[in-house]
Amino acid sequence: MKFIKSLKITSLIAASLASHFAFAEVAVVVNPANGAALDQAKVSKLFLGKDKSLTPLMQQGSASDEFVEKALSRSPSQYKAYWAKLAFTGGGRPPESGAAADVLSKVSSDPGAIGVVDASAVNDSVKVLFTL
Amino acid sequence: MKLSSFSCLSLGLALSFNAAADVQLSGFGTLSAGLLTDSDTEVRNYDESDLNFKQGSFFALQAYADLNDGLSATAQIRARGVDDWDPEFTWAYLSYQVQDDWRVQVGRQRIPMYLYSDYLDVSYAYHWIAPPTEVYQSPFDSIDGISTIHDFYVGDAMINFRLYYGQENLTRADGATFDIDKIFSAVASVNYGNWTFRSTYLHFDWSADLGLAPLVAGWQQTPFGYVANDIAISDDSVDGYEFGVIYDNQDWLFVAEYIPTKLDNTVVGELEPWMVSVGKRFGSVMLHGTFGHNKTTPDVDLSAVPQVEELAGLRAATDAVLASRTQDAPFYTIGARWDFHDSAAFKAEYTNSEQVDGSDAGLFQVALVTVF
Repeated sequence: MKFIKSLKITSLIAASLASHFAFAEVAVVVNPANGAALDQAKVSKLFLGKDKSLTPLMQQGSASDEFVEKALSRSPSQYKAYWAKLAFTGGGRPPESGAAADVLSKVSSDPGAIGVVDASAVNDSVKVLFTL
Repeated sequence: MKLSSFSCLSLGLALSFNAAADVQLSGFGTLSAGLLTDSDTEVRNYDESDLNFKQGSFFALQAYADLNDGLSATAQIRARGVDDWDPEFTWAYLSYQVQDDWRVQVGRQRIPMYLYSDYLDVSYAYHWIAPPTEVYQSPFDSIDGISTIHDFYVGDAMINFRLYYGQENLTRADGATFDIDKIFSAVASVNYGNWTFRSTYLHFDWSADLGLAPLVAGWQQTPFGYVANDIAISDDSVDGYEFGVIYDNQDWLFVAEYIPTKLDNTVVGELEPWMVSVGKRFGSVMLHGTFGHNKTTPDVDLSAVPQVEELAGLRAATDAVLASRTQDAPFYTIGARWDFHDSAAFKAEYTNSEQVDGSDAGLFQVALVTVF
């Protein structure tokens, strides 16, 4: 918990230092080989487990919280409650989460993966679908 | 959700020959306290006058192993305060993903008769401390058997269709035993935007010892043996339906559910419970109110039994049992949920439930609920 809190504080400081960004943006990224048209509605379904065609991954901490609030119109605790329903009934597992670098390396090596990361962490190894 | 991963090899489990299998452990729990406003009443299975920490408290651990190629194993262990925290396996099943939209589960698993059955114990996933027992009356919630589960889209509507077949035996805390056979259930739900519509058909054969054996034996010695058959639950067949709807736009929550069930010519008879629940979120706090009705009508026919002195005692005892099982009682619950932590919520509720004799009884409850 302490680790996550300190991450949050670090990203807050980083956000305030980057004065040209009013808010930290999050990016939805896929493998460059993925040519499918994925709009926000489809991405929402993937991160709600309603569509299992791609494996969703999230950057732990404020980036995933922000994505959940902006793209899925849920608070982080509502999102957690939503997955508690599915996970404890065999209806699916919540998206795995990890550090930005882990999400990016998995997406860049797996055409079947889709990731949510802090927009500032994005590099050339992945394709950005859209930012929020 | 933090799901700790352990390698099977390091745990030395029987599955360890499958080097690729990871066991994911997760869990949930409710720690609650309840206090009745009046002693000598019973609300939500609380029947002691003292502050009760045991009745609604439990912890559960779930282990999930992906065995690859579509096969997975799930086991769940739950320990309840009311059972002196003796752990029991509530689930143990293998799941096979036949196709993307179709899976088959074999073993001990939840049978989802009601809207909230799937995650009945996962209080973190809903607004109440627990779904109202005035409405959710089934003595069993899991079966040993097989199920088939389809998920597919029709336009933007997500359809979930499930079939269940199995059996269950259990002894309730009060000593009543249940032998439930040939359970068949069909469940269909449609999720469209903020709406979920659900319907269930449930059928099973039921034999139970509800502690009425002396009464049954008494009637068997009279020319009115059929009364004994009516009072006893012996291989009687149950037909139940469920109709439910949830609307949740992450701001307002609306729930309605109606569960008519029939057990003809028995002391259980006809059950027609329903409820309506409304909730509103204010940041991390949610306020909610529920109103419902529990109607139970035993189906034992004493009309052909003559009013003679020899049968008066037996008749009085039977009337008393039938009266204790006849209910036409409203209840309401008001409560709040506060998400004070990433993995836990605090809940408080007041429930007022009409007793068999028509008097009112109240219950205050508070709970800490968690998922991990």
